[in-house]
Amino acid sequence: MSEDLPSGSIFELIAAWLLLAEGGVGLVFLPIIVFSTKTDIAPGKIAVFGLGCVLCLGAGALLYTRWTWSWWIALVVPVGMAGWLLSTSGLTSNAQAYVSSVFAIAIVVCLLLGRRAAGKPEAIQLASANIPFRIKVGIVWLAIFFMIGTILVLFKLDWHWIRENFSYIAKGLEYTILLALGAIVLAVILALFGALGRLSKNPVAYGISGFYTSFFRGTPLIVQLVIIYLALPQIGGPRNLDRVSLVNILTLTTFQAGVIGLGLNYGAYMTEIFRAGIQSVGHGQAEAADALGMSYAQRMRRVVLPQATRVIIPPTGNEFIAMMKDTALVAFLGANVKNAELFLRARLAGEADLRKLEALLVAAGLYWALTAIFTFFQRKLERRMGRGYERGAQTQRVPHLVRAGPQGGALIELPETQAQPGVVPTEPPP
Amino acid sequence: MSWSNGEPVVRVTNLHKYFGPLEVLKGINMEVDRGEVVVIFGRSGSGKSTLLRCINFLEDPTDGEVEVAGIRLDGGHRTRGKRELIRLLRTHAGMVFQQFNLFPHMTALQNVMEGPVTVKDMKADTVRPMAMELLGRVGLADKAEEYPIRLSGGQQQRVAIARALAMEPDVMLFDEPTSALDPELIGEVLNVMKALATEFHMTMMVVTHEMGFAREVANRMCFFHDGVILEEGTPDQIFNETRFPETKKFLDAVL
Repeated sequence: MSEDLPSGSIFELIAAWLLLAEGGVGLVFLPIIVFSTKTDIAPGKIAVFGLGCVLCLGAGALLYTRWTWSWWIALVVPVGMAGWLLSTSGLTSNAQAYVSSVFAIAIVVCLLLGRRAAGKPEAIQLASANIPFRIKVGIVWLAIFFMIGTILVLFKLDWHWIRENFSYIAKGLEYTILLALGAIVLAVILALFGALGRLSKNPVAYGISGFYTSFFRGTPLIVQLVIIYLALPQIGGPRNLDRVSLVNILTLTTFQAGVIGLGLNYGAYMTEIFRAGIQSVGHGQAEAADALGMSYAQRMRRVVLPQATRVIIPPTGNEFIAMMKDTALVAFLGANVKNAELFLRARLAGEADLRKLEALLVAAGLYWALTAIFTFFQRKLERRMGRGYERGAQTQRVPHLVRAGPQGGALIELPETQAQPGVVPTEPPP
Repeated sequence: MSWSNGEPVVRVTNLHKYFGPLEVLKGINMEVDRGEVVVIFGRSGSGKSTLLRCINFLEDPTDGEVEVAGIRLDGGHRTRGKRELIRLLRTHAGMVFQQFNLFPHMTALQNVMEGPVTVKDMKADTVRPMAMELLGRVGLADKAEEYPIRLSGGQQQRVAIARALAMEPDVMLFDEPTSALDPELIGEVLNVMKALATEFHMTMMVVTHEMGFAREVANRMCFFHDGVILEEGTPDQIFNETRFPETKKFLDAVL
């Protein structure tokens, strides 16, 4: 770089971002504020607020230009906006005026620190380029959370109620996770046999697995759950508590019905995942196993399934995460209050105290947190599964080999042609 | 032929193979004696690979008879009893593929040990020294702990040969073992095969276009053309006293 970055350019950049954020957030909030409050707001006030937001956006954009006087506009606009809001005590409450003042102070400070970068768009762009993408995305997320937070404040949620009932609702997580774990175990077993059936030349196995996947993929999960929980006992005849009868066997708890229903349904979907995973193992592998004289079971256990697992595990993790959310459907099976899962608890608690929004927001937040955690681990797992199959990747056995290698201390030697697949070494131009 | 003891390890009688309406093998008769090296060559599509694959039942012959190491099997549909016999037959016939087909989730050593441990139910501790010796014999003792992805094509194919040898087969079937290799890697595989033939007198059936190898190692050569063995003889007869114009044309093309 021939040109040094003026020291304050990063602050000039932040000032621009803050201006854009203030204008943008203000414009998004304007309709919410207008429609969510019962008091009448003077149209003139709304118009001035909207104009102020547009001016903020404009001032932020001007900071990216070559004109030095844009710095002064950027200074005046937010201060004027905050001053006006303070003098009229906001559109509906003082809160908007205070938030706007905080913005204004931050912008003014940043502008003063970034004075030397004013009118130098290259400096601002370079400062922006130096900030990692992930941090920028983080800032966007922060802005979103800020907006959601303020909307929740506008809704006037009953935080006291949430604090009191949180642990009751969160207890449902226990059953939600147990349901999902039980169902995924069942689903994996069914999917394995389903996939082997789909790939089988045996007409019975092929037919049964074909029917299984077709039926359970072709009917809604909620219908299957209700059939299993409510409708099946009907075929057992009248209830007889004295002896072991069909009706007693078919009368399930909501938890059992949930595990079976979710397991059957997801097993059918995962059959396709398993089938694809098994088919992704090259035909030559099965032939090599056959040529050694392996039986079908040996071939599957020793050669095909270990390789298919690598392909199967990441999407299975996805299915598990999806299933954790579908456990909410079990709430419709009935009010077994003692071991109710997350959604049922939220509904019961929310409807009892007429705090539905609070209860359901808590439930949604918990589901989200749960899936976010599992998604994080699933990503890690996915990265890990791919590792053993990369040529350049270090395997755990390498250090041992290096030690055992010839006394030249030579590392693993790859032939020239193999060292960098696809890369043709070229001479640098003279 | 002269130096073998006349005991056939492989006997193929009137072998027919159809792929749908297409007749790929039109009644092949063939005997391979113990210690004999037979090179099978011919244009692609002439049925030479199919013959090897029929001998260990990777393809089911449509009609005819295959006998390997005294185990005799008919063509046609598989039955439950026949399936077991096919597995038994396969333990006597080692196969080396064009695409190596090593198990990528196992190290070289584990690949070699896999057959005896899983199929013959032998103890890993018993098999390991034998597998190491085999890897040494193909010149890869130092690569025992490597996964196939980190080996070159030639090294992979040599591991594949060791894997097949670990089953102590009566005959080795080579299905174009060098066709997928870069030119500079072909030699190392052919050298291993040569040693196998000359030092260990392994019975071998080799489908290949490597005519240098054939001239040097083969006891007999079979020219496949349109599903039949058109011409058969010692390398000397094939190269110097070619009888059929088709053979001549093919040899001119590959030499």
